[in-house]
Amino acid sequence: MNPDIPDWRGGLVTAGVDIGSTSTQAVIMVDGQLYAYSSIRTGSDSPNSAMDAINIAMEGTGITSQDIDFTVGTGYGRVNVPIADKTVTEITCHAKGSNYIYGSSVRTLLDMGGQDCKAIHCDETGKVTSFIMNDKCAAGTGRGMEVIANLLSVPIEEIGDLSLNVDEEPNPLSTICVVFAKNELTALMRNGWPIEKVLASYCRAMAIRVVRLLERNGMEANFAITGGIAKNTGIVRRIEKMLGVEALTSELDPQIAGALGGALIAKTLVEKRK
Amino acid sequence: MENLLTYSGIRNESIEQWKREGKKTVGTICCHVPGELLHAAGLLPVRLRGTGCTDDSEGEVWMSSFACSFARSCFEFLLNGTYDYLDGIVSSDGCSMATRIYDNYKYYKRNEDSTRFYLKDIGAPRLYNGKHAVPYYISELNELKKGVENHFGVTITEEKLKHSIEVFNETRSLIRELYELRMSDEPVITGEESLKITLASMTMPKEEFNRMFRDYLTELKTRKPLAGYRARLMLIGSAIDDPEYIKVIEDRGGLIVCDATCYGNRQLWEPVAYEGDAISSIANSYLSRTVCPRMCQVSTHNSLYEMIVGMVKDYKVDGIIYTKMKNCQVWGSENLYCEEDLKAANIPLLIVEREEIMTNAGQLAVRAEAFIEMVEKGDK
Amino acid sequence: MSEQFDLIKYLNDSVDSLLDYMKKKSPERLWMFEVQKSQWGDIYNAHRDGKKLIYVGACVPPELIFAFDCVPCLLDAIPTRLASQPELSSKYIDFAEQFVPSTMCAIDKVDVGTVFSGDMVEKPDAFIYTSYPCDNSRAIYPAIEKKLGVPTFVIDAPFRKDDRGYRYLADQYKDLVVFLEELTGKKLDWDRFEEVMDISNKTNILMDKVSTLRKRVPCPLPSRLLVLNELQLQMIGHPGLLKFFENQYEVGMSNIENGIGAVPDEKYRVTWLQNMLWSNAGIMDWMEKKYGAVLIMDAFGYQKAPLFEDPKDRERVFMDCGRKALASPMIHGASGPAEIYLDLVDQVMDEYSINVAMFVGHVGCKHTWASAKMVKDTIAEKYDLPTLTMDIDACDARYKSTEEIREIISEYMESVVGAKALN
Repeated sequence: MNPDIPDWRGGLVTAGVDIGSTSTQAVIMVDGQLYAYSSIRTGSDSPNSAMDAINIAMEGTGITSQDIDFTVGTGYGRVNVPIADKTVTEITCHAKGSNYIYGSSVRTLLDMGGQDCKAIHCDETGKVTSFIMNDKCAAGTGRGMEVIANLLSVPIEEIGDLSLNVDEEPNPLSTICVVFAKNELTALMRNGWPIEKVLASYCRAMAIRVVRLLERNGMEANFAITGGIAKNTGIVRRIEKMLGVEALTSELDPQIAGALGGALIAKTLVEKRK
Repeated sequence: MENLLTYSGIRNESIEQWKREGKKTVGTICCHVPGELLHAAGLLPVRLRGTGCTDDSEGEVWMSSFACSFARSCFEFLLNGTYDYLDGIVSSDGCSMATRIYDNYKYYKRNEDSTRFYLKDIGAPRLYNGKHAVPYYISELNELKKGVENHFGVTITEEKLKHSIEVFNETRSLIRELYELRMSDEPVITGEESLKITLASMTMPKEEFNRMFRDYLTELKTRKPLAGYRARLMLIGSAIDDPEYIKVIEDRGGLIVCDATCYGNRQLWEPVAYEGDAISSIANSYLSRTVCPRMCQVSTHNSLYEMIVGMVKDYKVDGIIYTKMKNCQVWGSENLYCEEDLKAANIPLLIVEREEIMTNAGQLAVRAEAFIEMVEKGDK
Repeated sequence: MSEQFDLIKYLNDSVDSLLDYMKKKSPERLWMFEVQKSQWGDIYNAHRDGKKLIYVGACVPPELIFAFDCVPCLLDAIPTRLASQPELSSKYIDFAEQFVPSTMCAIDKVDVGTVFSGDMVEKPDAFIYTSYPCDNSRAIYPAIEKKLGVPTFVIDAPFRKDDRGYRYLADQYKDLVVFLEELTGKKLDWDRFEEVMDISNKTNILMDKVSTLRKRVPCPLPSRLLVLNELQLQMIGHPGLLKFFENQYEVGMSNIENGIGAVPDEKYRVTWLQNMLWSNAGIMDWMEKKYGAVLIMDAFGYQKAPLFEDPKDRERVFMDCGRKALASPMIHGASGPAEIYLDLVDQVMDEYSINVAMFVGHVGCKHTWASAKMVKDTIAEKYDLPTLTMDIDACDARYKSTEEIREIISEYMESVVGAKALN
């Protein structure tokens, strides 16, 4: 809950709900300012996940669903947001949300979500100008990272830092395909590679793949990363190094970019109607 | 009013009726087999396609997983009885995959009595209006003409050919009228419906199509304009013979108003100008019209790109959706040639990969929708 | 900022180092490598020597280029050369994949990569290409033409290999002469052309003789030498290639006289039915050692090239150029109707007494993969042999490791063919 907004009553209350394949976020804004948000794991029932996320976000605020003037649903499960007044794709929402989180200078976005990976260009208002998506395989996605974390019995949130703990960067895994990567990773472990080196090899391969996606769409300063994997320092550092750029940072959680964008778009739609 | 759209199916009542009358049908592959020639022989030319294929595993056994799924699906249909009404196939080497549909089928039927099923491949040059290309093509067409006459026991006279050209030219003119309607600021027809119409034109006797479509056009012109679409889009890329694909895009709010695809407007559009004799006239016309990137020497004959840019202007297109069939080489790397130019001309482009058998409608939908959100110009 | 990498200079320098090394280590094998100096050295030095450098695609008669005293650079020769150096080939492949689908043939990906990356530092004076060999080349050559921005001549190769087709090519080759005359500012020197045709004929006669030697049981020449047959596409008519085959023939004859075969004990006569495995040519050496299995002939490389029947007949010469172009390696089988490919395979199986057939299938060559079943069925029906089918990438070694390839071949040789490992 945003302490800078003393009272939400009287303001335009909008919400964005981003139902991803692995996590769901809900954001509440008042007059286009971030007010409250939540992030939970997506359950097997998307409509319930959406309502749970919104309810958690509203907790302690005094807001009820009736008080929300407009809700935008986005993400993989966007058609399953019961209270959504409109659905907008996560591409459009992430660009808008990133503009808020990182500022109007951001032009190139990388969104690494649960099941796909997107390179997005936007203008100074956060409007999308071009995009490329990769959803053919798990490489560069949260799902892929989860599989590797399980295989190597490493908590997913530790992977990044561990992978950076190497003196010399090893060769990247020869295959990015998660199915075949499992074999190669196991072989490396058997060959006595320490866990840090194995993780470095995987993160490097993944970063290469992601960088190619970005380059295909074209790189333009400034650059920012959203989605769950933005928190994986191992991937982020490697991407930055390969591209020779530093990703913008923010105190706000980059995972909420989609829902935040949705709430902003909701505001625009309300204002257009007037 | 009879429903023209039902004749867009690969198997339809119009073909059944044709067969009941004891007449013969010949499948054609790609755009350089002149339907007029077959029509003049009293045959019904039907353009081969894979619309509605749900399983191409047998096709894959023959053509391998490295072939494009369009070609595999066409071949699957040849094997599984979908095309059992055909009495022959004439193929032009549009691209290597198209050629292989023919090659594999010919091999498949190698032990059968060749007098029962007519098989012929013709070489189609790859140079627009080439000074040696046209005579080469004319020789190929003359050979085809003789082959058809011998096999089917008919004589293809100059008069018959001339008449066939007139019939086909009328079809072309009607299709141009259809697209003219789509150019309007207040379009009355979706891309999905339009594709069904052009598919029907390739899957039924042209005379019947011409008659039915004239009525259809009259009705179309009385329709109320479509509402609720958010962007005007153009379709380019590998062969699209599947209205369902277009429906996915249009359900998300994008209206396909024009295209540069071979089941859309690239097969039947430019009229054949009769000059001298029919075969030469056909050859000249077919080799001057813009087709697909199968053609070479495009730097000096940039007609495809110019056509695309021209249509964007005429049809007030907000963005181009460029679909690439997986393993398609012809359209697969065309962006290497034209993407920068399109960007420089400020034409938004969405590139999507596809397979003939649509398993990724959700993926197409989210990209199409995001693209529409990107290019839409305000509420309609 | 790092210095621009000059690929052709690198290739030329590599050949020089290689030749220095061979002079010291095994001068008797120098002849196998000198031809590469003719290839890359000539290209590198073209402008220095005051000659026009012309990029070419397949089916452009090298004899005509030499007759005008120009230097041809066959773009497709670069990927096959770089295939054995993954650090370079992967650089260009990855670069190209920014623009073209990853399913494109790696030969064309490397072509795109080398030209678009700027590593082909010396700009050519012209670009001549045809509509062969395949959809991949047709897709990228116009883009390369646009990128280069140099005078370009395009020839349409005919669908069928018959008199009409040869005539079609012949007519376009005559137009090509006009183009070359404009480019060089000189008329075609027929005396020079006759000289070149003479060298070309001598070379083709020798190539046929060498191929015939390989029909002997046991085969007197190693598998490896097959890799260089593709040089014909770029260098037929060049004295360097003639010398190469003179030496090869001599070695072959000497081996026969001394009762030496490619291997001490030839057990299996193998054919590879598609592209040469440039990215892992060592597999051939390994097959020889492990199973006494010699790659006798590969379908793409197989050729009995037509000759210039009468170099003084100025009409006939162009028809013969057409015949030769359509009989060149890879073109003869892989382009046009599949029937020709099946006939070719049948010829190889028969003439070379093949008893092991392998479809070592380059994944980028989709239209021959789409003929693979017909090829295998033809072999099974006529020769009662099962064909090993394996997908590889002929120019991108990363696709399949050496271990994997060996495992697949071993499994086939031992379980299906009944071979025993020799060591």
